[in-house]
Amino acid sequence: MLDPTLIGYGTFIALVALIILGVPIAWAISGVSFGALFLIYGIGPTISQFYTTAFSSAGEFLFSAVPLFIFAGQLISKARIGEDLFDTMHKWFGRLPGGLLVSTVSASAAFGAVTGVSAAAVGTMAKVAMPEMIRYKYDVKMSAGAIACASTIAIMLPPSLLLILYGLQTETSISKLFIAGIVPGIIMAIVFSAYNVIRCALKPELGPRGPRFSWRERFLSLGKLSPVVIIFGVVIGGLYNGFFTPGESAAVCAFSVLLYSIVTRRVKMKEIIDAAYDAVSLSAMVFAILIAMTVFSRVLIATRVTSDLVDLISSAGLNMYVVFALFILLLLVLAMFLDALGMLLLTLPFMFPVMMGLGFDPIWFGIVMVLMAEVGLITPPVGMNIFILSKSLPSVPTIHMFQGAWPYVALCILLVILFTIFPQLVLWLPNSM
Amino acid sequence: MLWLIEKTAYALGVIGGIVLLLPMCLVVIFDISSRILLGSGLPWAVDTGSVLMVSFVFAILPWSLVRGSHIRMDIFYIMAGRRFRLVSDLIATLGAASFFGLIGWGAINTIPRYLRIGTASPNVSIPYWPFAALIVFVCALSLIILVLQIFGRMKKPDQIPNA
Repeated sequence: MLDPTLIGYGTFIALVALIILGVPIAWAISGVSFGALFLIYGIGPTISQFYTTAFSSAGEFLFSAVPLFIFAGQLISKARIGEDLFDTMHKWFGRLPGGLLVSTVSASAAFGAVTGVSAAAVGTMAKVAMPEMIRYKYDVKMSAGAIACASTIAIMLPPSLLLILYGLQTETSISKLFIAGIVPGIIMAIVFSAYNVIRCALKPELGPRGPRFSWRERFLSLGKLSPVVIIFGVVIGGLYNGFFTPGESAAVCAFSVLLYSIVTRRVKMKEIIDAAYDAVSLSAMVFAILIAMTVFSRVLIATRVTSDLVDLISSAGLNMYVVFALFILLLLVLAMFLDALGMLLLTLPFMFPVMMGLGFDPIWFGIVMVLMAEVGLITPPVGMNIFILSKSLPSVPTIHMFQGAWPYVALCILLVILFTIFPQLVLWLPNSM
Repeated sequence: MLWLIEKTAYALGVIGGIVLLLPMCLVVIFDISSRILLGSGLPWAVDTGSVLMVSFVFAILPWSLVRGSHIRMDIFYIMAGRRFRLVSDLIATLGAASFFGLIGWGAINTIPRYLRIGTASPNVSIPYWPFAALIVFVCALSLIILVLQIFGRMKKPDQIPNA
């Protein structure tokens, strides 16, 4: 019989090879897991492991958060809440240098407060903000970069699909992860806005100032924020006070958005069905990976690969921050080739135990992982947000969008360094729960 | 035959997926309202939510297979030649077949045990065997789709609009 550890390493190498070959992640994981479990246990127990894992994983009610948050996000997009948010932010920040860019960042952050996915935010902001930016002769690269990158704030601020998946995979408190995402999300929005203001102040032709609005107009525009404030308040307030669980918060969020959209007659039945269809499509991909990954985690336990890896790194006597920096470097490389979801789910089974073994905080690490996953949404050649943006703005070359996104990649890395030096920025709020 | 398989996958995706989304949402809302207003949750909510989720997850998989909605690292796949793609597609099919084949086989093995012991959900005893039967059906349908796709009888995902 083959040594299980040897099988484990072989499995890992095969998995990497299959993913490079372009095999869909779910099927690559499933295939190698089958091979490994078959070699260790034989066919009978392998079948049993696959079925019991699939049935119990699929029956996990927390999984319902995935389609429901996506549904809510799509519905918000179709209910034109994004337009209202941008209008309000424009009235408040439009007068600043690069005011439309700041308005986009702040509207995206507000959008993120009621949706857990960035795709909805980037699609909406492209439609709303870009025509205004073109009208005021904003630099195309900066404009496209700001729209694509500001939308990533949506997955840091609660409710966040990636934080739910991180919590599911690592058994970390999702409520605490949600609460922990608030301060980093706000800091991201401030840093992104400050970058735009400074660049446009130094070089005004990049983003000229917008029109001035009266205080009366500004205050009146705040009324348009009310649905977002109410939905965010209900979801996060309910979570913070323990009225419902994170899985249930997805249903509350989806139901609130649906109710608002129907009552205000902002969406037609067809648009509701379209939103549900989008939710179902994306969820199917995520579920297949989640089920395969749960089986794969059994392979890792059976082959002791993860525990060996933890022992190896511990015995190497490396400084914990050196290991962390190496992981960040690896994530940065992976971010270029993998989708945010894929990268998160694929690397967690290896990285999480090592990081915990080194003494890092699981909540803090979750926020850093999500920040790195955000980088994956905007880096070439597989920057999902850039591709969504290029569909909305076919006249802007994709290369210009990637060029506009690079400064934000650097800002995200700086934020990782900031959160590493000052972990309290991430942890003080969840620790106060 | 092809038409029937595509329509069945689509119907499962629509009925199982889209139609189940609202009840899933409502079950939770009722449960939370009951907890807040009446002081205790609904005993059937957890069980119903759980079996609805099983149905939802498996119902949407065949249609996603037909549409080719996958998360993959396709940079080398896009740039590669026909032979490379063929190898990649073949391995992907085998991986997917292992996924659906093993889960479906496991479900077939389990249904008689579920029926014999009467395995059901913990609170309101919803029997599990119908959901295992659904899994068998979904896995069989998915395997047929995979076979048809590899032999070129069904449209490849990149030939379907918006795939």
